[in-house]
Amino acid sequence: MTLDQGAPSDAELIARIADGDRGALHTLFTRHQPWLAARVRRRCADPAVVAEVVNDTFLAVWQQPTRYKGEGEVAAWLWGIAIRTLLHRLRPRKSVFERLVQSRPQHHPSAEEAVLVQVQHSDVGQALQKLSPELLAVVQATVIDGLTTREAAALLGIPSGTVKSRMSRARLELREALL
Amino acid sequence: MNTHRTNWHVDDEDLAAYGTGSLASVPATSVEAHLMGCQGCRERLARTGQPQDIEDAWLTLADAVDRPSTGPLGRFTGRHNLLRSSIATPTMVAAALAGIVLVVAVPLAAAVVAGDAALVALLVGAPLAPVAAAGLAYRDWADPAGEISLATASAGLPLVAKRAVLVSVGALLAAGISLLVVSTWVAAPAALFFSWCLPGLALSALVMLAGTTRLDPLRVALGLGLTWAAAVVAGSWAPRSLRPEAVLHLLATPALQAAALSVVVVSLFATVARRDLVSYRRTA
Amino acid sequence: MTILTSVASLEIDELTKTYGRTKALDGVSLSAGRGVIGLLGPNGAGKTTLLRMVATVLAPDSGSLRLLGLDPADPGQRIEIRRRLGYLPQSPGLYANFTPFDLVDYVAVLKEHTDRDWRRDETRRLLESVGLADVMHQKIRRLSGGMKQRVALAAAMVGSPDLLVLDEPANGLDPDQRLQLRSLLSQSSTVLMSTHNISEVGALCQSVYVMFSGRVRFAGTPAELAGLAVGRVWEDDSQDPRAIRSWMTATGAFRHLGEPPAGAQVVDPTLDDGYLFLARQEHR
Repeated sequence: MTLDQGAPSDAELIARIADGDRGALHTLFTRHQPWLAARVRRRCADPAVVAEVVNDTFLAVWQQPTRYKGEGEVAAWLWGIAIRTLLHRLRPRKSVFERLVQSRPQHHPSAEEAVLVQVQHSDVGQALQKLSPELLAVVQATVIDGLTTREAAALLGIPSGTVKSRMSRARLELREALL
Repeated sequence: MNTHRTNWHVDDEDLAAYGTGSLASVPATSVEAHLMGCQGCRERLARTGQPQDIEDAWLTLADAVDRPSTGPLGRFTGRHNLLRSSIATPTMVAAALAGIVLVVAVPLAAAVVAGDAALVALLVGAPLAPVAAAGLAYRDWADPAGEISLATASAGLPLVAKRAVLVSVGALLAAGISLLVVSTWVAAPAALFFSWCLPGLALSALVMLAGTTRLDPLRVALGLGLTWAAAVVAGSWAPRSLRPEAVLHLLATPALQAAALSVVVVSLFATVARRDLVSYRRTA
Repeated sequence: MTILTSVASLEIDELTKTYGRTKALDGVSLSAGRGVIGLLGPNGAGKTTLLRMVATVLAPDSGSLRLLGLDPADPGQRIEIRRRLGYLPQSPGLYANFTPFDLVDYVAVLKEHTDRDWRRDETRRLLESVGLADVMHQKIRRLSGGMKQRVALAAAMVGSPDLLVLDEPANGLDPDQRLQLRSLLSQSSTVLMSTHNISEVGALCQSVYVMFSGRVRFAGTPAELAGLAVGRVWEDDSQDPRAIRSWMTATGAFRHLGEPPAGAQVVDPTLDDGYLFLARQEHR
């Protein structure tokens, strides 16, 4: 047990997990499971699937902790694993090529996200509220979750072309609303 | 860690609503983006729920995490098959691999020196694989739990015997293949090449029997092994060359084969008859 | 699984064991019911040999044993004893590449527990009870000596044995862990443990046997052991050459063991005093 001030950081916990520390996994779990479960729940109605996705996410952390390269937030890395796990459930059979292409870089907080932090209280928020539900879903999938067109299509159950066209429409409407 | 330099945090009501899934779409998205960078609000979110739910979810994860680890041979040593896991212990598997390497590498190295030397090396090494296996299988350190295993219900001859067989089978198969390769450049009928089998088994049966006495089976194995090696080399020795075929012919004589067979049968019977002495030892 | 309180758990009668010229056990007898029984004595007194016999790992040269009412010389009864027994040897010799989880699960396999889920839950429970929850998936080679000892202790307690045989269980444990040992031991109805640490006897044991040179020299309660030195311990301000033993206490006064001179300030004896007095008699 450590005597240093305060609790260990997330990155420290990952390092300990890489060392085989089960207690560190427990701590990481109690810190992150609540928000991760809530977030997955908003993208998938089935509670059993949500529980499995969250479980598999932390299992992946336990089995391959060195995938975290120390860049960006651990929370973002966890979300990356979770959303990919969810996607994999919806489209389980992927070709080798797709899987190669899919090795993604770290999910860094984007400019859009930084803006959306304040969304509720700003014009952007009101503008977004005026979008129809389908357009909003596409914006969330591509902008907030950082998914590619193909992945967003898989998640929402629509063709990639539709994702693209809805994104353009959403951008148009937002630009108009903000002018 | 807060990556967002903002004084704005999610208020309690919204956080609770987000947690139960009753917050509207746009504000929920905003909350999500904020939570990504704010540990404080993540903790607050955790507190809005039931701690028991988190613990229940943890127990489900723990059931998947708490497994015996699988080494490189995990698939084969089968943590699922408990019988296999007590026989194919890591030490025994390592011994089997070492045995295989020895009956392949040493003859090959010898073949580089002189073709006949390979056959001599095999004639020495192949029968000794089961001999060594039998000696090792009796050792405490053949078992991952060491001395603790001696006080369990599984302790006894069956476990020792199965371990000896495991190591022997691997090494013997490799030796058989090696021999077939080596036999291509020695002029003698193929059947002769396996005349060492029964003598080898006879020696190993003696080691197994030694384990039921106050003798140390590993020392017996060493003694028998050295004697065998010396005999084979001496039998193959001819001025300025090696003649392993002479040894082969000697081994193949019906008298010797019959003697070897009777040693095998008698030793195994005696070992089984005295198996209680393996389970309840007289020496520490 | 119930044991009548009137039936002694351990009935040991005149056990002997000779190794070459040394008599490791020279007629040891012991009778004990439930509770924690301490085996005290210097190195080489025969404690380990006796414990091995009680753990059914070693057979005596002569004498008889009845453990939990069963006779280990009979193969069928021996397996039954082993099913209800847990053993912690002096040098456990655990496989260093296993994790604590691997090892305890493996011992459960040896103890014939076939249900994988039961083994997982039991392994977890035991490792948590010895304080190794965080490191249960780290290889044993990376653990400290005290942690390795605790792994072996957990392995000994698989299946909640009725009879626990522990050879120096507190080896390598810090004071806090020794305290926890007490609550762990209370789970088994009979515990036979050896130690050369006298304070452990006082803290953990209901009865104590003192052994010197393969024989039992004292059998009784810790209080009775201390009582051997009644009237033989006095305190003073300086060294006293007439005493058998003298040492300085924490307060700066001197404590003496032997025949007190007239007018000496006689004090109540402690366990150490009783043991030392017994040891002194032994060496006459």
